Amino acid sequence: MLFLNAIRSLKKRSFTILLLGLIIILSGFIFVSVHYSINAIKAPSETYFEQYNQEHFNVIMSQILSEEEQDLTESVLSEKLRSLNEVYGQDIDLFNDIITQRTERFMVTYDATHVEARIAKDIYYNRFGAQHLMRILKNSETINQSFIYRGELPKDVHEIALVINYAEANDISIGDTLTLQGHDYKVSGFVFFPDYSLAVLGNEFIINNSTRTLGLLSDAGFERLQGDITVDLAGIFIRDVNRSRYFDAIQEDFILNIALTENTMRSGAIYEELRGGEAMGLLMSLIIASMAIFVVGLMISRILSEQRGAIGILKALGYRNHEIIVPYLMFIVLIALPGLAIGYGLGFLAAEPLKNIYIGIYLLPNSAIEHSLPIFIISIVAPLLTMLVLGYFVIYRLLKVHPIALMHPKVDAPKQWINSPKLKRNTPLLKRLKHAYILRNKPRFMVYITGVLTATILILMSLSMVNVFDRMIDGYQNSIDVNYMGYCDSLGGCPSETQTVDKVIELPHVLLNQTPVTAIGLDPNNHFHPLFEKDENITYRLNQQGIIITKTIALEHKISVGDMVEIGYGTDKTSLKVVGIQEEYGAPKFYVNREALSLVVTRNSTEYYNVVYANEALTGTYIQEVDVQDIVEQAKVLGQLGNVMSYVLIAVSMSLGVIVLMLITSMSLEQYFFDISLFKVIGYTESEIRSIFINTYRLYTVLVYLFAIPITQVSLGLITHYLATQFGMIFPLQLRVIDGIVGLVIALGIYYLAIPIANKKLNRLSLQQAIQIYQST
Amino acid sequence: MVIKLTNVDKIYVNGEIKTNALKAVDLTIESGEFIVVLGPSGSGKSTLLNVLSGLDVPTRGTIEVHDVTISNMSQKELTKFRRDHLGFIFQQYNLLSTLTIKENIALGAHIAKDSFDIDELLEKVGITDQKDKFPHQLSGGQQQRVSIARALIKKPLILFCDEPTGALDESTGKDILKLLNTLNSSYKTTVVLITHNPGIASMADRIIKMNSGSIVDIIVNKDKVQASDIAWS
Ligand SMILES: Nc1ncnc2c1ncn2[C@@H]1O[C@H](COP(=O)(O)OP(=O)(O)OP(=O)(O)O)[C@@H](O)[C@H]1O
Ligand SMILES: [Mg+2]
Repeated sequence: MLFLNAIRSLKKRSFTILLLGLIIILSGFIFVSVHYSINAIKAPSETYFEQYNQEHFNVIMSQILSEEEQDLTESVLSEKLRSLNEVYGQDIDLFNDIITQRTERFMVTYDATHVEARIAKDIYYNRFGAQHLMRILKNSETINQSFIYRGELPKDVHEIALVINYAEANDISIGDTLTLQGHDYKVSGFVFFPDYSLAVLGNEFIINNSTRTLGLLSDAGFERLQGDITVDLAGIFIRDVNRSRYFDAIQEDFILNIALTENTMRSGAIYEELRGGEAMGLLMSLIIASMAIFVVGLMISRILSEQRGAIGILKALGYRNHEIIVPYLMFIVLIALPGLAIGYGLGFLAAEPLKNIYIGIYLLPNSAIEHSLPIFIISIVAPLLTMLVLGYFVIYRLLKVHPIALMHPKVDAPKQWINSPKLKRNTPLLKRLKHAYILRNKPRFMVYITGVLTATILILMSLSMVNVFDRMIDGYQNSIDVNYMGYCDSLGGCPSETQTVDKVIELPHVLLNQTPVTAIGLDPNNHFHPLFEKDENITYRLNQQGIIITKTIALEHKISVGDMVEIGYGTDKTSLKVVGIQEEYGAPKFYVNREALSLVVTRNSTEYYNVVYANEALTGTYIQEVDVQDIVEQAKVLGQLGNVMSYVLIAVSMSLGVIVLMLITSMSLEQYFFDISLFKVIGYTESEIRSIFINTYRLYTVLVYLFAIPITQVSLGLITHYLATQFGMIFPLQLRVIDGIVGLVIALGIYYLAIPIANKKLNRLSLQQAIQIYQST
Repeated sequence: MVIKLTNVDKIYVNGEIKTNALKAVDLTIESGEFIVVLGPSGSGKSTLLNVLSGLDVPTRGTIEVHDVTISNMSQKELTKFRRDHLGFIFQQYNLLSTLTIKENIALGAHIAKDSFDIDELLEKVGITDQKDKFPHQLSGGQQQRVSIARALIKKPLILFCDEPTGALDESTGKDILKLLNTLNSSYKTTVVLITHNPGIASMADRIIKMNSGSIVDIIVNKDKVQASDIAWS
């Protein structure tokens, strides 16, 4: 009988319960999908890093020879060579000697480490009209061993192993042939490379795995392909030391920079991102789950207070507390269990696609998604128990009341604030009532605020991330007319060119205040690459003694125009003034007068250049020809992926907001049923009643939204700061006025989507029925 | 003539169960009359009142109030009609617990085109001293006075009362009836009052007796008595 009574009270609230169910599903879904997908990546990745001896740090070396090394080349080859690349081209044994000297010196200075040189070439090639960039590597001995997880290692000069993401994106299978620089390579297998190998490729955080990749070649296959080599050192710690402080004083002159894997955007960030993703998922689902738990509590206490008379009589008749409580607890199980089960099931199904999004961006080993008992318990049993305990507590508190007191209707004590004399004097009656109706039920108000605040903060964050990559490249790309870049052979020099070109020097690994950046030598009167500070053309400042830094460097190092910076190139060190800040995000660069830079490189000539920038397609032969537009397009494709994710997040947050608001208004109408019908009987029109009981939520939703703006601002500031200090990445993550406006529209959208049902409910509330209920109470 | 019912039926349908709560009711009420509706429980009194007042719509038949046919009005028009012309008092006082007495009455004034002065009305219903208290600080009789004042403040043409004294003791009940009587004579407000209590009928101009959904008798009361003199049961 009592159970039947509980079921009936449920049926009356079927809409509210449906919404509650959705919230419970959402909470379980987020937790389960995020947890399963991340754990299917985390564990296998950790094993891989261990077993294949992946580097703990990476040493960027100067590709320029030191004085002694140069003397050595003179004594062996009777010609003074200046770069590692040149030595590699002329005498491989001498090259090996120099590298061995460097590694040994390194390991003496830093005796807690073991390092190994890693030689790579970056080659561009065209595949079906698109420009692809591949960093090719040889198999290594001890550190960064290659993990072939399908097929086998390349055995001879005709074989290559590829990254599976790249192969899949380009429809390449094992056994297929790939043509590089006119040579055919058969794909022998799929190899797994960690992300830090990619990080150097274009210095970009987002790498398009379908056009930028890594290839593993046999030694002979590697030698056959033309291109400048870069050499760096991969290192591991062989003793326990304080890793973050261990390299603080860089002592060797050939070392440009040492980056710990954990501080590298593309590799350390994997952990941060996985950890962050997991924490974020947990936080979100906890917030949503606690809203659900609160709502269950509210609902139970509503039903109980509606039935206090009946419960009083039951108690008076001699029913025991537990006999009264059990049906209500059963009822909690009936509401919560299906939602939790569906949430778990959907979350499990979504884990696989979610995992694929991750590994589509990061190259990570992963395992299949499998059920895990602890997760099952955490996502189903724990919330259910919490709800039961809370429900029990709410019911028990009521049952402690004496039966006689229960049989008398409970009066809501008049709230002090709405009757405060000051408020009364200044605020009309109905206005005070409106606010009282929203604020009176504090837990419900809290659920409302939490729901809308969470939703609006997430929406604002997503909005600030929409187009962030476009914003990073667009401003810069629109300011220049460079469509093609030709990279000249460092040994052969640049070919003659019939197109109008700008002669440019690009010099990677120049130190600016101890951090490696790229120096770009430009002529002040160049055709295609003007420089801009905000909207002012500052190309002429290349005539001044000093450098023009990019926004990235300015933000990262907190440098302003007029400051002095330390510039180091090989063994040269000098102090230069910053004469401008170029409006450009992305990889850290500075611009300097080309002739001045030429003098630094050659020591005696102002004519040197190693890259040409052009507006029309180049006619000469270059080691690499870069189609700028193509790269921009690639970046945009990835930007779009980011946008899609932002839009999904906006949609999910919006649904959360809508569901919460629907739930809250519907519960509020249930609670104020009598008051509403009273207003109806007195002759208040539906629109007047709506304005008392519902429209106020629009005001509060907007207020909550306004409150979300500073919170989001601060959070974005923290995220930007964190990314800048931890990974040296500058994202223009900030709320623009347009985001604020769009956010407001979305917040109002939440309101207008949520409210029609409440309005309908309010209008449908039958007077006759209401009066009858009056009469019978 | 204020209200005219012609051949009114009201059938409640609840799934399989149909209840014929009003059967072919014809009734005319004149302006300024004090009408008492009597009948056993379940005879259709409340249904009659709801239909008369436009709180509910009849299944069949027409209802005219002041020559306006309200039986085919939309909800919206009915609301407007109630708002402008009708007042209601129920057995339950239905006051908003978070508002003071004066504010509860102001709720009625708020939507009126023309309203009485609140203080004058408070005086009239005898609760001037209580005006700043909250409902739960008042006795049942006092609360019923508040709901009467709330109904009257907008100067209704007709006042509908469904068991207004049902929850009150004899002396308080008589006080309320006296008040209704006074209002009826001083403001010429038409009063339709439903009750179980046959004694109350003696203060009516006309008595309408109902049984199982039909009007079985209409008695014109020639010997109206004062509220204080009725026999309470
Ligand atoms: N909403 C409804 N649904 C179904 N039947 C109803 C409904 N409201 C009233 N009835 C039925 O209509 C009939 C008349 O009810 P009504 O409330 O008018 O009686 P009443 O004379 O006011 O009784 P009481 O003196 O007990 O208040 C009863 O049989 C009742 O059960
Ligand atoms: Mg009745």
